[in-house]
Amino acid sequence: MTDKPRSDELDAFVRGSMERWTVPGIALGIWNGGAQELHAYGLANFETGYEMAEDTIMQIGSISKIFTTTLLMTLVDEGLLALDDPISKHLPGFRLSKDGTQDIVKIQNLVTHTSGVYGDHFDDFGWGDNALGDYVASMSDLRQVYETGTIWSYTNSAFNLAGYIIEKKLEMPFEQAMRERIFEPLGMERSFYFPHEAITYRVSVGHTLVDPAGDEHEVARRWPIPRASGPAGSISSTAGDMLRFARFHMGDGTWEGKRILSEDSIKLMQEVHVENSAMADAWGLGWQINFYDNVKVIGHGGSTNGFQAHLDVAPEKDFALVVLTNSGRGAASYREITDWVLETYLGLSKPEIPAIEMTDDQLSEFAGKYSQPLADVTLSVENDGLKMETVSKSALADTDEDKTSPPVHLEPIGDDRFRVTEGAAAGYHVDFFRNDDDSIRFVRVGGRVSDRVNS
Amino acid sequence: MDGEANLRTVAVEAMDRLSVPGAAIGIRSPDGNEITCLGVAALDTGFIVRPDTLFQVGSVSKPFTASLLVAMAGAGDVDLDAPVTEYVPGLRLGSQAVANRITTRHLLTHQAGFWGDWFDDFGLGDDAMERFVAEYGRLPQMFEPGTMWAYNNCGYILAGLVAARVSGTTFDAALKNTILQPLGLEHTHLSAAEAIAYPVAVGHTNAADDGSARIARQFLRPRARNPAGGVLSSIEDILTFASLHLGKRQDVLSKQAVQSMHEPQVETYEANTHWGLGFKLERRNGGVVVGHGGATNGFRADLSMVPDREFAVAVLTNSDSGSQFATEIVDWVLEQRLGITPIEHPRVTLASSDAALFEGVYAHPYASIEIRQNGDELCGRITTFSPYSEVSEPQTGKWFGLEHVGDDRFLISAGEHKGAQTKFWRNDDGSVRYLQAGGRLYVPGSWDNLEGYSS
Repeated sequence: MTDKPRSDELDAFVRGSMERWTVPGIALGIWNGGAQELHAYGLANFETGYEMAEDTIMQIGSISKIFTTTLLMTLVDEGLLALDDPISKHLPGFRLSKDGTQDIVKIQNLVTHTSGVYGDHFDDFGWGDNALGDYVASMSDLRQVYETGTIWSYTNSAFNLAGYIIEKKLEMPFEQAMRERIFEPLGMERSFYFPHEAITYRVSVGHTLVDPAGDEHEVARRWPIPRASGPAGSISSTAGDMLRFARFHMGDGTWEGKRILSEDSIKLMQEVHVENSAMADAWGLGWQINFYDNVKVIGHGGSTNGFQAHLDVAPEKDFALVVLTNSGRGAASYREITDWVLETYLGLSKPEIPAIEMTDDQLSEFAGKYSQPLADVTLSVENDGLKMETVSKSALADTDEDKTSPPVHLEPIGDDRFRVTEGAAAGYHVDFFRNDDDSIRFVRVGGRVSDRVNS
Repeated sequence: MDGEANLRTVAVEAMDRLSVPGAAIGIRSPDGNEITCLGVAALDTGFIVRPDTLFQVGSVSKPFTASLLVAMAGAGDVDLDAPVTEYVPGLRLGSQAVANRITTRHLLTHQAGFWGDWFDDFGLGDDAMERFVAEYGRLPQMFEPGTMWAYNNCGYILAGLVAARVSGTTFDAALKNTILQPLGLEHTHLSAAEAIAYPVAVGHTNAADDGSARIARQFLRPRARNPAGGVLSSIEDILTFASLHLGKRQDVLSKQAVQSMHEPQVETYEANTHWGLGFKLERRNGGVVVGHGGATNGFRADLSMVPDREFAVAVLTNSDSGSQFATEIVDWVLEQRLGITPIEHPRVTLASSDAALFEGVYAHPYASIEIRQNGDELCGRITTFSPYSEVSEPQTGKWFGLEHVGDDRFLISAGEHKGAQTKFWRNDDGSVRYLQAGGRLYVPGSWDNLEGYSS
């Protein structure tokens, strides 16, 4: 049963957050020990004034990776593949840019962001059934950024590769496999990969900031994600459907009496597989893992051109929260909503790591330029910390213009670890990786490692 | 009461009577544009129809395709009178003998002579159209190219492939680059993937029992069909497209080019009706109406222009009963604004020997028409069994009367197709060769009797 006063408080908090970050619309779902709440706030389309509804379809972005991992585990259960298999076992003839790596990268590396293959590869291979296969063939040209298994760095391409292995093993299009094995058995009737499937339902448009330094949103006209990047992030769904998926992962692998996944696989996905990750305390199979007062909260975020969303699941509390936003700055909102809901509903909080002191001399070691294909980062010493300036582009945006983000301050919280203190990204960690000679090799910002540029 | 209020009253009455959920009506005259939006884009959302709401326009896409080919001809890239095999070498048709005698002009004027309603799904890839046309060997040839008019969707798709081959890109890109972008049609698209970021109407079909409107969930999809019927557009954009054909956008198509499209190229089976390049030309009392209708699952549309009077009226609806609605609105507007009225068909006595000759069953692959003698008159009924419909069972309609209007031509006197014409075509020996209805040719007895034309 919904506690009415708390529901009013929730409404007030969400509306306040939307105002703070000028988020046009949010749909939110909470599963709390057997009770379900669905809420809708604001607009589904800022231009037309069409209202958000509880069942409005929005893009969930990379939360799709948990679906891909779940589907992959159904194949593991059936013995069609093993997490320890090198990918070459299932893709004969395929090679990665650093030859031999295809024999080193295991299936498990694909779903734990540890393959070392360059990740932000979103090339468009059209809408045909050949899209995913053509994409994977093109992965042979992607840089091997680091040695497999040594670093966690967010890797979209690896999930698409996993999706292709699923497609090959089951001999059917990836999307069809997901529909038959996950969406339909779980009764997820408003969850889709293709725009032509979603378009006849109540569906939201995305909104992006006109200027990253401002507050004004505009409708994002490039709605779809290329089909080939479906396994990494192209599901559209509703808050209600997402709660079904969350409840399934809090169970024993069955749904309404029918087995979909083994209980072992459900549990294995939620275990810590990588400790030194960014964007969360640790990483499972597909899942990110955070600890709130020692309670394990698994989840995942998603960000596409004009949509940002987050799913959080606390299996030991039989609790799940999904926040779907139609804003490119929706993460700022869902982060504070998540903290508020976990605290208000479960009394859970995440103690902040205390800042440490560093001398300007120590700080100057980190200063300099860093680069990856979609972003250039410049760090300089300021006020007992670092100033971070970012010029980035998104592979999915309406334009491929560089966008300059407002500079932010970083405070040191560990030997090689800093925290953003302001703006929409406040609280995110920035950390560093070193070469054998102790010189700095990479900075990890936004979950991705960037090379230090020698100047 | 001004004209706008009048139109609104007439339209609202017709929408209620015909269960049309939403409609957009546009009029372009020397006085400017008048747009009337009525009802909802979808029954379940209740979102109102707006001047920028996208509707499927169905075969109103054909004038777009024809405009593209005529523009390419104007630029010297395509010769409309050259054999189509010059642009699509290796083209396989049901009758290979005629392949070198079919021109792009034949395709755009429905004179190619091969069976034109085959719609298997080749997906959404850039190769869909190529793969579709590669199957044209299955299309039987029904008459010598250039000797007759029979509505031909497959011909338009082949014309689309000519545009793709000559421009070295896809048909979609060629139409965008040459027609849509130069005209500034930002609310005109060829896929759900693009349309979903805009306000978009959902189709509705009428329930068999009470005629009430229900949402059609199967959205237009197979990409190969785009040249024949894949356009989604808003009433604002359709009026801009009309302005092109009123000679107001000579930056895109010269006045001469436009006029060449409105010149009669072939007589059709309907009285007072010819076909131009991409347009139906219907002589009425007071002027010639240049236009095209369109129908997809749950959508009906019409564009009618009187270029001499610099006048256009367009109707977009999200309903299967929208054809009747569009006919009523267009007729009303043309009469009110221009004093133009349809030509009445005088009844002509039917010889009893002819009545006996015409009695029988006529068939094409997805429908049959039963013709019976009823006293000294004929009546008929249609059974449809389209593999492309959401309804899989054959559907037999009610009996309707057929009024003889001379020249083996009949007018349907009641029911869903009231006012439509049919015509019996004869062999040299006086026996019936084809029955033509709805633009399609039906073979006496059974489709299997079709001998196919090859010489």
